[in-house]
Amino acid sequence: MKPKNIKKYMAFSKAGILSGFAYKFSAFGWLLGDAISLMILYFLWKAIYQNASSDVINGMTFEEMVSYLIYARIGTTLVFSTASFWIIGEDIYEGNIAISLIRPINYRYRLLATSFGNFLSALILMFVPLMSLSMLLFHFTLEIPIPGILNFGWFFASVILSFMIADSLNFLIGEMALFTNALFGLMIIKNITLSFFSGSLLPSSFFPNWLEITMKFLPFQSMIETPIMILMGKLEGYQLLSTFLMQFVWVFVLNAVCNLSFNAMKKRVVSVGG
Amino acid sequence: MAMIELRNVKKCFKKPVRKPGILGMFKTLFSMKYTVTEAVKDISFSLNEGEIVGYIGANGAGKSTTIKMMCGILTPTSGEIYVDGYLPYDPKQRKHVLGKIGVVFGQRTQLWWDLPLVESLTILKQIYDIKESDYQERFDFIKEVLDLTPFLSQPVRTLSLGQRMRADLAASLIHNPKILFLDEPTIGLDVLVKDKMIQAIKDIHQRYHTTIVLTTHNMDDITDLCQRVIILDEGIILYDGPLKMLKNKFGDIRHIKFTCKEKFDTNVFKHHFDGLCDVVLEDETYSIAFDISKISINQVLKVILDNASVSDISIVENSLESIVKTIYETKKY
Amino acid sequence: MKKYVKLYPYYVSRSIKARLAYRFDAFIGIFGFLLENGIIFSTLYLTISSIPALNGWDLNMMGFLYGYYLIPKAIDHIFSDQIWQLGNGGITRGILDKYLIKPLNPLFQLVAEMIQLEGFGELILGIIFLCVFGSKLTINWHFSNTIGLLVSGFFAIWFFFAIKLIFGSLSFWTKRSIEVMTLVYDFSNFAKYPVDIFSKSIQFVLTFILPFSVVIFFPIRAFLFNENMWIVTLYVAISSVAMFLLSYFIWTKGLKKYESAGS
Repeated sequence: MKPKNIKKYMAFSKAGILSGFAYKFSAFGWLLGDAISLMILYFLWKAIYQNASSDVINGMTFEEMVSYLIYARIGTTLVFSTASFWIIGEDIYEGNIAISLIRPINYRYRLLATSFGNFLSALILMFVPLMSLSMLLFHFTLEIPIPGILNFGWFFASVILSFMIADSLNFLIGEMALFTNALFGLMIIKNITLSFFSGSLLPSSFFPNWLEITMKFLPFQSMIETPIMILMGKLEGYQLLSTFLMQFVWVFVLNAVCNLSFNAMKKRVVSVGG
Repeated sequence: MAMIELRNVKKCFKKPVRKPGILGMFKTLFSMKYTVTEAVKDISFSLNEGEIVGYIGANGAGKSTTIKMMCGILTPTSGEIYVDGYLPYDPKQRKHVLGKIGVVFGQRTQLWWDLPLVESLTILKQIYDIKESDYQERFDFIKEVLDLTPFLSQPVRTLSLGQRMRADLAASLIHNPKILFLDEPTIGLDVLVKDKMIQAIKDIHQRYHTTIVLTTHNMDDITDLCQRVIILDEGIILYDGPLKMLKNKFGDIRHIKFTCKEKFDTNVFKHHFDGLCDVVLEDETYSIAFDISKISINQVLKVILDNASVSDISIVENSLESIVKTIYETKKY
Repeated sequence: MKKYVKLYPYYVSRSIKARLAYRFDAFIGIFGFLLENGIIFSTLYLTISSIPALNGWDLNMMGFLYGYYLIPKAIDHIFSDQIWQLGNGGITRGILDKYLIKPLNPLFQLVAEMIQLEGFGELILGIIFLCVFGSKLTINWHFSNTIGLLVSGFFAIWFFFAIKLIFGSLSFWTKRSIEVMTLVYDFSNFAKYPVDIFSKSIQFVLTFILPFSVVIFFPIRAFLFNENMWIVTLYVAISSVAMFLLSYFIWTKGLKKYESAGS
């Protein structure tokens, strides 16, 4: 990427940050809804561990489970802060896609840059305050240790990779808008599938064996479960490095798929018309 | 009894005082302070059956508010409105009014967005309990007069603006209302479609003697359709009377515009007509406005031709638009 | 009254026709809701698989409860989805005006306007769950408890409707209430679980303030544990009717305010 182009992309990132701030109230509204489902999960798991025969289920204690679920939910504000699905979806729906192709800027990277802006605003407005709050809460009530600096470092590195994977997937699914007008329905399908397979609803150790094995070959796990497990110190040494490698691989693979499919779409749009 | 009668109608709106910013938002929530806006201060008029009246006013003058009150969507703060003898905003009397009015809100559609027009009309037939024979007769006439056949079976969502406006007009008339309220029905329409709409309204009025209240910013529509105009400004009526009288009262003004090869000395006019007319230079065109009952065209033309070599010239009557503009500017009446 | 009975099928048939014109879109919508609930339930399933039973509720019972939860919710979703428009800025956009000038109850017009086919996704899943898990359980299907369950389900539909209407009508005063509407509507998720896993204060809310558990959980508990079905059905009926009357009252008040003050 040439230096002057980088400036152009940064402009989009700035726009992404500003729009993230503008929609803060609506974001907080949805967050309250999350609070309810977290409450339900808390009580559910409390009851589950009470009804269980041991303190550890599938490798996690109650405290670990609760902190995993809440960290995961907070983590989603970062990883899924991408707006690429809606941007490309609406552009296709409203027929703006043709115009975007004329511009001297790579559409895909432009979306990524904008989403990165969203990422930054989510970091400042949601992640930092919520994470600090919950870590303190856990420390004083459930006596869960606060993760160390090193863990945080690896966590952020992992989260950025996760974010890029999530952005690619959102982009790919957003391209489906070519075939249907039901953007809202698509969004529901996308959100629930990603939520589940990324491990934000349940750690993959709870998945049936066949699914757990399949997940190792798919990019989903690395979106939430990987970074959160890193944060909680459950992945170390060799495991840590190998999962990182996996994430890198997926970032490249998915990016390539995005570019390939978008080029195919470009050809189609140019010949058939926006 | 008059079809529509308004007596000393007043409408005030209470709006909470909103403070800017995030902190202001919270303060607004808890403050009890209100500002009171008088959208309509004191309006009285009555319309007889079959009249077509143009209801003119600037945005915010109170037009839409009055229309909403006449439809029964809004209740006056004081005063009364009688539509065919009933109060449209009174819950008990409302049912006597609703079947007799038709409304076109220019900026919003009343049709079912996903359904074709013909389906909307069928549902309306049920809602208004229209007899089959009446429905057929109205349907055929309206279809003809508004040229609906090309798009009758397409979902309303796919229609162009011109088509949608015609569709809305059709839906407002299908139940043969005694009164038709048209709130900006030609807004955004191109010339051809607009003319079609106006002609259709004329045809409908001729056939069914519907009382029509038309609000619009387009003065040509008014001149075309209305014999009577009511001019509204800041909640009070500035003028209520026949269109012709408006022109008469305001003088039979002619505007002469001309361009000439050299510069023209406008003082010549002051000298001849002693301030009875004004000359304005704009973009190399000179404009003179004068009252034809006071100065003859002949005299003016003579002065122009004697003192300039004219390259182009036009003579135009006073337009309703400029009269209305003057009324607002002077706020006389 | 007769007019409404005659009119409603008109609205319904035309709305369905319009939606089916875009088959693929309708399919995606239906599939979306089916998948969402399917995955959420799978999460629940995998969670509970790790233990023998949750406070006496085993997997099949939880599945049966989930299925029952989905059905009244789905039916209300299908028929009254337009109510969400009330909270989504509909008041300021003036969507009610076109109803107010017609000689027909405006609430009826608002509700009848749209049939939301997406709800069928939830309905289909709910029926599947009831059948699959119902067959795995040993249930005494006799007259009184089956009728009781059906009657409770019927009232539950009105309960969901009432909740939407109450919080949608708030926008007569606050201009926009969709976030609150969603929040309260999502509260219904508590009812998928045995109410005793929650803290006392939450149980109180779920029983007396937003009685979702009364309307969904209690009937299933009575049904599966052979408790007195009639008393529970009575509770369900009372809560639903009370909620409905409240919702209609708030709606009417809000409409009056709209007519006197505009938007």
